[in-house]
Amino acid sequence: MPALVAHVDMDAFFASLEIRSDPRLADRPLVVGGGPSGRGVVTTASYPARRFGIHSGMSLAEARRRCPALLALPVDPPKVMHESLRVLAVLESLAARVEAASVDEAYLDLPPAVPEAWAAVARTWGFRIRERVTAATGLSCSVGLAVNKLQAKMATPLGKPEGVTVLPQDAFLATFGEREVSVIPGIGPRTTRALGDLGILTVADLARAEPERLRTVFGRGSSVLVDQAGGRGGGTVVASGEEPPPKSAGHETTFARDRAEPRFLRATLWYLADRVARRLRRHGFAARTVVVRYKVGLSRYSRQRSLRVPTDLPGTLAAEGWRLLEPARAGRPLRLLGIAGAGLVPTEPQGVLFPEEGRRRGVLGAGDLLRDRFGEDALLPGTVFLTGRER
Amino acid sequence: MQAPLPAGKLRMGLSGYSYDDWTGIFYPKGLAKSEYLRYYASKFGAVEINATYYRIPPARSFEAMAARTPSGFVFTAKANQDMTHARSRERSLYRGFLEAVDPLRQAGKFDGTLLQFPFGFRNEVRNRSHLAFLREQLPGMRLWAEFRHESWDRPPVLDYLRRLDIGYCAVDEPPLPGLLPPRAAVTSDAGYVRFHGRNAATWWGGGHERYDWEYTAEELSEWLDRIREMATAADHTYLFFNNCYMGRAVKSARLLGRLLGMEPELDLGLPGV
Repeated sequence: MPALVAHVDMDAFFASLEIRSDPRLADRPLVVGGGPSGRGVVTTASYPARRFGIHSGMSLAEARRRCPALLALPVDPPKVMHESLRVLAVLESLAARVEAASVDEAYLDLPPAVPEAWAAVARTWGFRIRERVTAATGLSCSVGLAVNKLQAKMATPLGKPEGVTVLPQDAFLATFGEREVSVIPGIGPRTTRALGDLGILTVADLARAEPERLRTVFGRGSSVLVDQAGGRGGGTVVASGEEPPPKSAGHETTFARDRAEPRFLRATLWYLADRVARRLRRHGFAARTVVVRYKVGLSRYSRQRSLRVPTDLPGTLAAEGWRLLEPARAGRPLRLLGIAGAGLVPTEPQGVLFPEEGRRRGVLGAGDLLRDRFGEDALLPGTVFLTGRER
Repeated sequence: MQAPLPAGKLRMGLSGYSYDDWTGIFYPKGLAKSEYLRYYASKFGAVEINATYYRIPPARSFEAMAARTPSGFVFTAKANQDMTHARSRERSLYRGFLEAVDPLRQAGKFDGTLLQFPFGFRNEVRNRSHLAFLREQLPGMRLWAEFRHESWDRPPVLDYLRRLDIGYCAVDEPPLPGLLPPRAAVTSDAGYVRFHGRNAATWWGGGHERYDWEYTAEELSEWLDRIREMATAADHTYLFFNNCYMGRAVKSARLLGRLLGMEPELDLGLPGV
């Protein structure tokens, strides 16, 4: 029985929230993102802004260059969080298993459809999801439906905005074969370049590639690449509360300007360590390893050490972190500073006793996703709660 | 006394609204036929269109129906007999149906199609495959399957419907041998119940008299738990009365509404009903 997975992506989520609050903004080129620093990046561009070639991830400065009349609004975290959870609640009322992939994206595991009517069932689900989300929030979304997460995610942009796109079974290569490899989520500019050097330009090229040839460049990752190019992958839909236990918990922040003063850096480390410690306690974990991360210019560094006794106390984390950082940075000014606890061990019996508890954890997880989305440049504490995945 | 269901969970209505023998019973005497729907929509929030079963009307008829009803009012339509009884595979038939109801969809007033199958439509491979064919022909639309033959009263059928995203239509009909027994089930996001009356004597005779049945409070009370169960499982659940003979459906709807504690929402304003 072919599986059925839906990928839901809110259309210009952050910008749409602002437009919903003030409909007069609807036709203006608008971006949401950045912080008071002016160093920020675009988190979301409204559709009128996209016509100027502005997209998320672009620096605000570049966006302003492309459209001098651009309106840039700061992110409103509580509003975004609230709305994100509302969308999630709608989706959870539709499917038994819903995975929040980010603050404005989710996967739904739908009942496997009868093969002869697979595409029609998928379409019906797509319309239903879109209708419900819009009815509950007044915001539009796009839905991609396919046999797995990878294909569903790749189908969604084909119908944006407000589209329902069903990628029929066995249509993956026919749809994406001639597209550049970078259309596959996770294949960034570096991988694209490296593949290009091997003469692999399109998804079809990659699907046909000799694993041996790839292995010399990509090592063990090469089979994943070939799988993805064949439309296989994305894993299973993991519902909130069902995630594997976290492997580390951390916070980091980007400074408005580079900072070298020890007092400032030490205070920042304390502030971040306190947040990490609170998170550890809330989830019932202690860290065996302390990790500090920092950026000098554009280069990223990290230093770590193991503790004799696992800790969930801010003082210990901060003190150990400082002991690692100070000699390593050797007086150089930092652009970013972060601290994380890794090698987590449970401090309380594991397992979710009450379903409510699982749900609460899921909600907390959604908050983390939101912070992920702000990125390092938002000057807000960026939160990471890694589950063993590469960020 | 159980807690009332959240508002909007139940949508009650009648199977069809245009019956001549309702004049003076439901419709005020002298009300022009063209005003029936407007009047009906002032009393009920939903209607099941039965005319589509006999003939697919042109899109402009539905356009007019959309215009005569307030926002929030919803229609469901019975599939054409060629789809469910003749099991036609003629694709133009389905295209025509989709085009006809499109004005209602555009107006946000169309909520889906009832596939009512005849007694002779048994739980067999070719009929199950016809269900899949119907789903394929009517994509993106809520569908409900109403079976008559008891061979469909099997748990795997419900699972099959779920995988087709087709809703199960629960029925109240005479307890005759071979007929589907009353059962509460939800297999898509919307529930559906049809009350046909329990007139065993006239059931097989066909004709209007089949639906000559006056429900008692006791009979309808058998459904209260089932309805609550369905309303909990579904986003919304339709309750349609088809015992339309001499306006009996109106009276039954009002009675069930009262039993469910939804009477204030269903003020039919009928003298002596």
